[in-house]
Amino acid sequence: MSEALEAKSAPVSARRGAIVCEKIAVHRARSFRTAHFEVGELCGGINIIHGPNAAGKTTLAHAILTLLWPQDPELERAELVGHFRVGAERWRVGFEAGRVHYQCDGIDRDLGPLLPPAELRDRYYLGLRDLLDGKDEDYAAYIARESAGGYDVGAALSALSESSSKRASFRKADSARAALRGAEAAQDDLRREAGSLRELRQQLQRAEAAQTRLEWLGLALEFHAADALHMNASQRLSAFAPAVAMVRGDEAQRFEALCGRIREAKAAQESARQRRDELSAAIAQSPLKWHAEREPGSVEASVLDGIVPTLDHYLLEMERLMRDGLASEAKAVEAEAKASKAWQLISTCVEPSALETISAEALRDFSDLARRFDRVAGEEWAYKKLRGILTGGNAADLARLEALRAAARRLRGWLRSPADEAQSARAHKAIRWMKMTRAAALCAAISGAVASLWGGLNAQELWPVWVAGSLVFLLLFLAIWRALRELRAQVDEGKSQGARRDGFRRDYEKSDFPAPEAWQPSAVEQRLDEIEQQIASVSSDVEKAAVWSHEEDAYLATAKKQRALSQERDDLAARVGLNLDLHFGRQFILGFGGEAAELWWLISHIHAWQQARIEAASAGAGLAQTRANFEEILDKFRQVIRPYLPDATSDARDIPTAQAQTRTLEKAARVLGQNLRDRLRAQDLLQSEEARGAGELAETQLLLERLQLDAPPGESAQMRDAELARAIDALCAQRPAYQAAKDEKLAAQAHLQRLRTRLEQFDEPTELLQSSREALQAEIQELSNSAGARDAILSQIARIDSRVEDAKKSSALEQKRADYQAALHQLSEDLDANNRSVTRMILADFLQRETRDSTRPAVFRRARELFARITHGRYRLDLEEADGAQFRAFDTLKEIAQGLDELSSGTRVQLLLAVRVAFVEQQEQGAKLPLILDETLANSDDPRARAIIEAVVQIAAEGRQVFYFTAQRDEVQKWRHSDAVHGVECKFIDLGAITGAPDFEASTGAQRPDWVEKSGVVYQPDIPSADGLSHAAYKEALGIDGGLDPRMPIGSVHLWYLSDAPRALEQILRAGISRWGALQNLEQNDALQTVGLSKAQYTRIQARATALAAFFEAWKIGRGRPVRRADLEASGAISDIFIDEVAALNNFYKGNAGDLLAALEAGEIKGFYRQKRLDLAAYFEAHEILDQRDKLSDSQRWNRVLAAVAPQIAAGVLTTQEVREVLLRAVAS
Amino acid sequence: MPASRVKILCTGDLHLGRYPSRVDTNQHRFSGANIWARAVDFAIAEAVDLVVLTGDIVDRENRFFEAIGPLEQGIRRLGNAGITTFAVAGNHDFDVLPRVADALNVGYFHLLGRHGDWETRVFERDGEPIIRLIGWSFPTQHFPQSPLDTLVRAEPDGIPTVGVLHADLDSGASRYAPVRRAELGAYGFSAWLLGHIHRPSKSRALGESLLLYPGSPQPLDPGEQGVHGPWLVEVGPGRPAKARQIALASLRYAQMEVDLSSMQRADEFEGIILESLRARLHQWAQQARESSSHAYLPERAMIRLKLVGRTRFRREIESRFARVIEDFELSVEKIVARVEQVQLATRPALDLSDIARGNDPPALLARLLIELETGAPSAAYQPLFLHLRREVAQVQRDNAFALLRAEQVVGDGIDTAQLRRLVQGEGLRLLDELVAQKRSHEDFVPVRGALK
Repeated sequence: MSEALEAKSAPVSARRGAIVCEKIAVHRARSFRTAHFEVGELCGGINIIHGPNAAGKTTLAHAILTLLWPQDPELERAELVGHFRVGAERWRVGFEAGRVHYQCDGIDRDLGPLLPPAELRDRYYLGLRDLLDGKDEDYAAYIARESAGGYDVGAALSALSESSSKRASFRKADSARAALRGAEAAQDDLRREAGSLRELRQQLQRAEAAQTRLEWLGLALEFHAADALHMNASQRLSAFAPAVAMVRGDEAQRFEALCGRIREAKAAQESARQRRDELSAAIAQSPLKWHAEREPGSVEASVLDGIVPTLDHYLLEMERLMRDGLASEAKAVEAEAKASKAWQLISTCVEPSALETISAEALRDFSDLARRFDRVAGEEWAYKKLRGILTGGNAADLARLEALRAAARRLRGWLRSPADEAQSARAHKAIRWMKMTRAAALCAAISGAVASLWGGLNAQELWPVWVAGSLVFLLLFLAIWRALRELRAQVDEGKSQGARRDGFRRDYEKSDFPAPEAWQPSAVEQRLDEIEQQIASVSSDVEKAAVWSHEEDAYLATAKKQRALSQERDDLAARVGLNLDLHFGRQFILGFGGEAAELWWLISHIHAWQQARIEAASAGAGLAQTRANFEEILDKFRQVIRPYLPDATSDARDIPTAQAQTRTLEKAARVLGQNLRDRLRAQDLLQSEEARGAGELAETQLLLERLQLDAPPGESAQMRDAELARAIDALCAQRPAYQAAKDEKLAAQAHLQRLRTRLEQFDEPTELLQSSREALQAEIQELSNSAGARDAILSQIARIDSRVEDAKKSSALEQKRADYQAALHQLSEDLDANNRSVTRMILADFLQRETRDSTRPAVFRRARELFARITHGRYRLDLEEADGAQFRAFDTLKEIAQGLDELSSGTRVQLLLAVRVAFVEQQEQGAKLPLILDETLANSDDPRARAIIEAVVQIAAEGRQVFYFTAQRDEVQKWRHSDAVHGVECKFIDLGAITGAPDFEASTGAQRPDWVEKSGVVYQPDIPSADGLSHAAYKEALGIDGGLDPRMPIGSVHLWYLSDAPRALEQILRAGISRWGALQNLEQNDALQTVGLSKAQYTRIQARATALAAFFEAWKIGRGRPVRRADLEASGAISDIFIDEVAALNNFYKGNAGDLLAALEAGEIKGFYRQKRLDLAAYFEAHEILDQRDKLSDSQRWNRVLAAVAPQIAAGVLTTQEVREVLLRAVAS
Repeated sequence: MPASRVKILCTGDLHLGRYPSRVDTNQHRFSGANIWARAVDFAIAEAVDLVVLTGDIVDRENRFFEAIGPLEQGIRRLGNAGITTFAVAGNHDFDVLPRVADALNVGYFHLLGRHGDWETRVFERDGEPIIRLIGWSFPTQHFPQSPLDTLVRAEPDGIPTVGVLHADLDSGASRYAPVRRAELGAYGFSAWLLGHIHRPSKSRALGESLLLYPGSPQPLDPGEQGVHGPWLVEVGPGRPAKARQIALASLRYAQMEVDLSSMQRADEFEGIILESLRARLHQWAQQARESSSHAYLPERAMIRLKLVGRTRFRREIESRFARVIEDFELSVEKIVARVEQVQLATRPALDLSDIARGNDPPALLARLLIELETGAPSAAYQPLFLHLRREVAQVQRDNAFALLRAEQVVGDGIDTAQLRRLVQGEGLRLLDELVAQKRSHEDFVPVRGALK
């Protein structure tokens, strides 16, 4: 694949034509002050365009670029013209502010010549500043990519990078592990505690046994104490007299109370007896004394519950009859008054005899008659009202109505016949004007016709005008004639309308109705409204009259009905004997329906008189009956009360007397009953008190007997009682002490018994009962400590049991194990990720390393060759791909690689120049484009400048036009004096002279103080001639002193040591090559021809270099290189605190790594950690500072050298003697 | 002579106190204790005669109270239901089970073969012996001899005999009571109920003896795939013992290969995974319905995906790994499936032999991969592998991974096979990346200036 790429990108310059710029004209450029300048006669080789600053060099360079790539112009606003030669074609390119015009051989073209894309334009412009500031990443990346056949292994590696945080996972796993260990430790603790449960339970058993024994011992002690108490109490009780035992304590009070109660009983007996006697006397004086022998209840029952209620009933009945009589009397009086009043009203029309004979049926007939009178009167009144409404206004007049309607029609006819006189006037006026115009148009047309006829006959030029004019006027005449006819028709219509209106007016004026104020439409309309109102009024009157004519017959029938009713009334009055004439001779009350009202009035008062008479009769009958009943009840009252009244009392005659007798009887019965009950109670009390007194005496006797006391004989009761009371008090005073002694003894006895009972439950009660108090106390003391620990042990066991149960329900450890396993898994995945990452990196590195050299593209090889040539083999172009592709320069003398930032500016410019030129050469397709260099030689010393010039000359020699712009005269001189330019066409153009810029000399030197002009001669190395000099002598001529340091890079070995032919050596040195590395670099880049060295000569030099290198390597075994302070700092093993101290120690031991480490191990620097010393030793070993191998002997080194060059010796390139000589030269010092 | 069969619920390797690994949740329902409780429920509901535990009931790492509590509770519940439990101790609980037996001290739990001495118990029904159990327990954590060396053969008396043993079958160098199938068969027992191997297996020895490894009733790590649960063993006189697995496990691990060769677009990836997974879950459900009257299904399935086939979307697939593992969840008939790990074993769509013809990095890499596929890499790659081995070992020696070494998850180095797999995997990824970044070298195609 890479071969294919190489073929694709192989230089094609040899078979491609070139674009040669022959002339550039700058007509306008914004960045340049000169309005116009032109640079012509440019050669196809190298054009050195010089001039002072502001002479237009940059403008010219940009103009070239703009003309080549106008689609991305450097000078956007400029007006440029360029003439190019592309093979045999002549191109003219015009550019004006973005517009491009191509011509090829004088023919316009739409497209210009084939060119690389504008993005590659920078490759053709090699300005010093760009080279100094420019970046090479794109070129380097391209080469790297191309080296890998278009693959970017680094990018692929980056794309596959995966993030993993092994530290975080470790911390997480470590944390989970700690949590797990913690949980396990807690479980272990719990397990240990659970293991102690058996011992704890045994301890608990012992403690509980001790506690039980303690309880028994305590009980035994208590039994002993109770027994002693019981004995003492018995002794104290036996000291009291026997009678005291009989004392209850309340005997004194009881005795005193008994004596008091005996006295009270006697007093009560006397009082009751006296009361009984008083009541017997009162009973004997009662009016009801013959009932004294009866029970009090029976007296009250017979009188109060039997007689008195009966009497009260009679009293109430008599009072009711009295009230009824009075009411009947009043009712009769009132009825008589009503009848009298009614009679006074009707007495004028009614015979008194007839009043009582008028029946109720007759009264209903009168009532019916009155209703019919009333209905007929109502009908009459309604018809009269209707007649007033229908005939109360104007009389109906049909003729007038018709006249009004005819007048209205005429007025409406007048109004419907419009007569616009003003319009008519305007129409007449218009007709007149139109007639005049029609006549004028007719005249004009005729005149035109005549004139045209005349002009036509006389061949005048204007006759068509006349014809046209006559035609126009003829058309005008016709139009007016038509319009006039229309107008007249309208006027005729207006006249017809006016005649009809006049007819209506005349017809109206013939009527009797007043004419409108004026025969104007508004006045006529107003008059029409008035007539229409009159039509409405007359029409209404006519309609009312028609209605009344229909109702009038019914009105006349009502009078007949009234007369019939009057006759019927008179007949009925005669039949019942009423004289209605007396009554109806009066004036009617209301003015209508009077007959009905009068009949109603008469009937009502006859009925009222009849009702009053009936009521008066009824009341008189009721009064008589009431009085009879009253007398009957009073008699009954007397019969009932008479047996209970005293003899002196007479019979009652009226209600108050009867009431007084009744109350007297009631009171006497109540008093007798009460006295009888009181006498019985007094008798009972007397008997009770007598019994009580006997009981108290008996109780007193018993008390005295219980207290073993006898009443002293012969003394008064009072004195005897006092004596006995004193004796009783003496006995009672001893009672509390006796009772206390007795209680104490009983309590002690009961307690003792309880203790005995409990002790008998013990296995061996006798042992405890018989043990002495001291023995028991001693044993209690002995067991109390053991029993006291029980609660604590019990609590501890419960706590452990609880924790164990909790633990059995928990899953904390299981969860933590799961967490730890998950964390380990994550960590394992991180490890896998790390392993994958490392594997990828190593694979990628392997791929890059293995494919790098074989697949580097041609552009890189060309760049490397150019770089080696420009630097005379000193540097080799390398590409570093480890961390993004970038160029590096490998110093073949020092054998170190440096990045662009580490290179001097000259070397950097050379490197980038080589790269870009290589790209231009290798990557260009189509025609070769001009290369523009802008002061590229600046910053380069003479050898480098010469090399660059040679390279550019070679580029030009291959058919590419080159522009070199400079403001420095010395650069121009370098070009002028370079032998290299002789092979190509070269032209020097003073741009300042063309553009009129300031003198070229003015900018020389002063602006470039670092530049030292070499008299216009390009530097040539000062190499002594080798003619006639031996190899050793030539060493002196070259000024080489001493031998070689085996630690030096082999590349920096001077070629004198490797060559034994002074003349050939001189030739190499004159080519600027003095060191082996540079020569080797040139050879590797196929540039030996630049130094004139044959391959055979090079092979011999190479063989000697190989031998010398083998010697150096062998010599370094066991030696290492001296330690520098930079090494100490780079090791990372020495902190800032110790660095100065260790550096001083290193200086003391002259950079010997072994001695330095031994000194550190010996503790020459206090506080320097052992681990740091080991780290430092590891760094020294890794960086070949410390080589702990044994040094080789001379023979060993010799053997290694011979082994290294064995192939060359075998091939006859080198002999052993020559090898020996080389080594002798190297170590001559 | 007993006339009826004896129903035994057999399980072992419960490892109570150890939670299954690689499960995305730490819920109790996935713990061994929960499955043990389920087994107890089942035994009571099924009214079995005996429960036999074949050792490693308690995990050695958690041989404390957390494991003992559920065990004691279960045994008590069985005892209250009139079911006797027989057990032997395994290498994990050789010291725990005797303590549990002593602590319980009940007539319905018997630890057989304490101190490594064979012990015989006869189980009676209605006063008649119906089965004989002969068991042996681990006396120490390791027991490199065969326990059968001390088991004396007895003359058959018509009572079915069941051996209960925690042992490593047909693994002579094992430290865990190695026994041989032929030896077990020679005793003429109706069945040998074994423990120690977590993967359930049922086989027959000579003489029709049933050899049953009930396996762990709940799988404990992704290696324990397949259906798990206790076994219902029926033993009777004159007939071979029968065993039927009761799939009580709430968790199931599975590895599933998904061929991605048919992928046409990268976004089809999830769909293919989903369909494959759904088909597998439906298959489980179907098998469960067909295989047993107790159609138990796991509640959670942890799937380890292996992606195979030829595809050009390796990079895109890799970018979707994390999402599949973190977000992917599929429910089928109460089974909730999640992806536990994804192993990418696809091959590039390109032919390695074609790529290997060039001289660029992909060609070199392809040649290496071809050599790895066909055998050991040639000597030219030996320095590379030496370098790799050294560097990988260096990574593993990193202090950050000290815990992995301490827990013996990894050693100090890496073996050749692992290294080759590593190189193959990463080589394929690198090759995919390189092939993908290949682009044309048309950067320098000339253009013509155009009129503007």
